[in-house]
Amino acid sequence: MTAGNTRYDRPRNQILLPGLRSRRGKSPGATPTAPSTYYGRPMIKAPHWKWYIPSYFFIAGIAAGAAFFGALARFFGGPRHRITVRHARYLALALSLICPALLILDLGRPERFFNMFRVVKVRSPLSLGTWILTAFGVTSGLLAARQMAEDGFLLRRRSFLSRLALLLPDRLLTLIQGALGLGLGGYTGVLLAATAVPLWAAAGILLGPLFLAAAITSGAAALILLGLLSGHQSRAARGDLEIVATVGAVAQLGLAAAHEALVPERIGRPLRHGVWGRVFRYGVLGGGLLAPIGLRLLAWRSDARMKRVFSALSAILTLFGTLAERFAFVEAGKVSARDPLAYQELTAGEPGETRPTPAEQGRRASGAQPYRPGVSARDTVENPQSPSIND
Amino acid sequence: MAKGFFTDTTLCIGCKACEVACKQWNQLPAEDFSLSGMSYDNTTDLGATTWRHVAFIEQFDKGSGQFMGLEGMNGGAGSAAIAERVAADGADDGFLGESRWLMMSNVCKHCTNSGCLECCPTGAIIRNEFGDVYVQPDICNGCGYCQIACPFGVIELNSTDGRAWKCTLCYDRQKDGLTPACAKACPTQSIQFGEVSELQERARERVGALHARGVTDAYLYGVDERGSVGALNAFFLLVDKPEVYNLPEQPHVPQAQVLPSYLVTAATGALLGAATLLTLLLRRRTS
Repeated sequence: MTAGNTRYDRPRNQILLPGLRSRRGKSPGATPTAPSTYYGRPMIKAPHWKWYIPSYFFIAGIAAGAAFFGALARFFGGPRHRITVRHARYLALALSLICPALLILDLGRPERFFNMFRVVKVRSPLSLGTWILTAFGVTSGLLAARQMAEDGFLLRRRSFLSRLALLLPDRLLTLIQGALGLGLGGYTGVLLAATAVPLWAAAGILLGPLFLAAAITSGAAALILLGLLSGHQSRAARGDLEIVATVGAVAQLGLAAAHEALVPERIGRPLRHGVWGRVFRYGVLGGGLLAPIGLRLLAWRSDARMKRVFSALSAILTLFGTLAERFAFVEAGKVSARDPLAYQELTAGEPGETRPTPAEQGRRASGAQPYRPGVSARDTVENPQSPSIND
Repeated sequence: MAKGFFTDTTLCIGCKACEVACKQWNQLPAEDFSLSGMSYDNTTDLGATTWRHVAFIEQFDKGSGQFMGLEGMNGGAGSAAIAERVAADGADDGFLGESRWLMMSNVCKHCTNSGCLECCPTGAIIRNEFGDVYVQPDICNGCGYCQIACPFGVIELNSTDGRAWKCTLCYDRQKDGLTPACAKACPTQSIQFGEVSELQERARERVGALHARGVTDAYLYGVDERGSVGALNAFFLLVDKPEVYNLPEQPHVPQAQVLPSYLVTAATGALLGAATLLTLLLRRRTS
């Protein structure tokens, strides 16, 4: 029935590799015409997501980025990152407690959230993401418990619970948490890409990397802030985090540039014009990515006090920028879903590419009856054989 | 062995018996009573409580493919443009001779490769024993992901009860060996129900007959599909471009993105991880 197709093909306007995007296919049909829509009605449904979901992307991203850095710092950071690792573990636990709440609140039937655990579907990012988040939450809880036992924080030293917590394998759990952090930071982008929403689908494989880079950047920024607030973080440790945040910001700028260059005009419009276009340009690219990088350059030659101020400022800006980025992508996606011309561009095809052209179908039609005046089509060919029609 | 619909739009007279029969049998509430200004179409969309929708397309100018719509109503900009074109082209190409009124009863396509079914994280959406895509209302928790995974904009969350709904292809009636309500009610057999392979054969013959009579624009949408969505269990005979009926020219299964996206994301993670590692190791040595 589906000869010649693969389950893995993608729209011509989705990004597979830079440069592979073909031009807008001409309107299929007899004559080249102005694009027609059905009274301008949307062709697909827009996401119903309330503010919970972009907020979840933001918070899960921070947790993921913190866990990711914490894991690497635990193994390779040496003693100066002991405090960073501790912060990362507590932060990951605190945020991974908020995440499920946000997701459950967004459900149409919140009391049925546990139905998510009926199945594991690798091809559904929402299903896989649920499992990643669950595993991440459990791991974060265990690691934080162990950390509490070590720190004597909330758990009394040498108490039964404390001894139990110290039995947990620190290295193994850290490794798992770091890996799950990568999954948690990245799957949200894949989740958006695997939809029919033009803006997200057209951004294709760029969204996963972009969301992951944003997660790592915001996680590092959160750890910088926590370090400054606690006052125990060494300058060298903060410097490491600054470099990671900068690398992440540069990566995001690169991915945003690729997005700008590769997503067709009509599809990318909600992210380039209007409210969300301004939020994206000034809030995300300017305030959230370029400004922190600039502040860090400024801090290069200033004294220790100013360095702290610049660090705090750039971290705060990064966090706000990331929040704006999550909202801009989700909300601009909603706008693009309501635009029938954007969806037409995403689903454009050459005549005869998706299905045989009318002429081909006419030629192929077997048993076509010659035209006989006065005899209706139903008399000649309709002649229903299936008893189900007239039963 | 799948059961499905063949909707022959050339036989549709726009009576909306299918809409009414669907609402009655499935006990779906009425939408608010408002006039859309879109020809006779005041339903406007498929949705959570509208599982059959008759589209009305008024075409007054074959040359431009433009239909009249709101703009063309008495004295609007559209009618002026059409009048100019008629004057310029002469009587032979006049819109009166070329005008037509297309009607199409839209429904869930019950795709071979179904976006909603593949994305559903609760397993509420299944393919039932009749080969159709069915949402189990006792399982759905209203996450709404299916709503944006459908390439046709069919399935939708009901804001009142918080669950996703769409055409069930009258699962309950089929279980009792009955024809789905819309097909049963259709007075012109524009909607035909039956074994998909049988319907496809019948539809191909119909296309041949229409071509023989000079309707050379007639074609089947959803039968010999080469796209990732595959054949549609509910397919259509159309006489104009798909987007005229608000259907995508080349629908895609969104899940085609999943594997490449994960791979590239993992590669990005590896790169950023390497950068972080390098930072930690190099600066540890220098400090």
